[in-house]
Amino acid sequence: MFAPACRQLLTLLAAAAIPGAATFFFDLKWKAPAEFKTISVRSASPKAGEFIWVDVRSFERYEAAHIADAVSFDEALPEAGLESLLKIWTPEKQIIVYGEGVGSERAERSARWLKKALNTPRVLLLEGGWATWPKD
Amino acid sequence: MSSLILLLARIALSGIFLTAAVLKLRDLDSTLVAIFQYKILSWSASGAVASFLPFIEIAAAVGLWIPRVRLGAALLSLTLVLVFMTALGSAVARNLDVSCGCFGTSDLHTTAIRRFAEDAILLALSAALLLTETRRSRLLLHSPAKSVR
Repeated sequence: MFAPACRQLLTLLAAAAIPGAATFFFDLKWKAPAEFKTISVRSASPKAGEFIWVDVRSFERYEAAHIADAVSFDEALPEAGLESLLKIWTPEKQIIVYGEGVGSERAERSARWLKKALNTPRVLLLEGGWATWPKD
Repeated sequence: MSSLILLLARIALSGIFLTAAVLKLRDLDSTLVAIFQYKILSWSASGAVASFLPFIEIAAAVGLWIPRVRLGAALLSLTLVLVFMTALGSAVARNLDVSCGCFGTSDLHTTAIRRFAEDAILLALSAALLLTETRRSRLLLHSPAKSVR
């Protein structure tokens, strides 16, 4: 019974492979991973004042505590966050985006959005996010 | 097992796989990031998975309704759910924040438990379908007239 099941499974996988390969070659292949560069807390914290910090956690969490001078950025209302950011941003300044913890998807999405909106490569992610930032 | 329950299992599984596939295809960039966030695969491997996975889910969803490949589709859906559970388990074990909400570690674990529970239901449905299809195929093999249905 195992052989027919595997044969049918392979048939289904082969059927999925055609559109899958087309998507891979025409849609995703060109995208580079460079936009996901991170900076560690150890490297960032001594010169925190030199960076523009973007906090993508919920506004309640941001209000409770955040990295000094960080701008709150809600990915659902990106224009509002961008407006606050533009008041302090200059092209040579490094933006560091942070979310709640390790590998925050929200931070990645927001970083990508900001990079596109500001047309700058100078957007990094804080490794470990807010969870690893020294609180005192 | 009642055929009505199996029909409902098939509807539920194919519906969930189709919805998941459509949502992934609508935003492949986020799918790619989400897969990469698990930190199991390299960037290019995540890209390949993000491209193929939605179509594999569609194949499983559609296959569950095609008698000729129903057994394979049940096996495929069981495999997919097992892969999802393994990836989720490994992310939780490494304390990765892979929940879309990203509301901290406590939320991650709540989300993970809920997702595990959902996956466990899908696993049970897939296993039930696979068992039924295996029995059906056995009966067909031993019946004098070997028709597909």
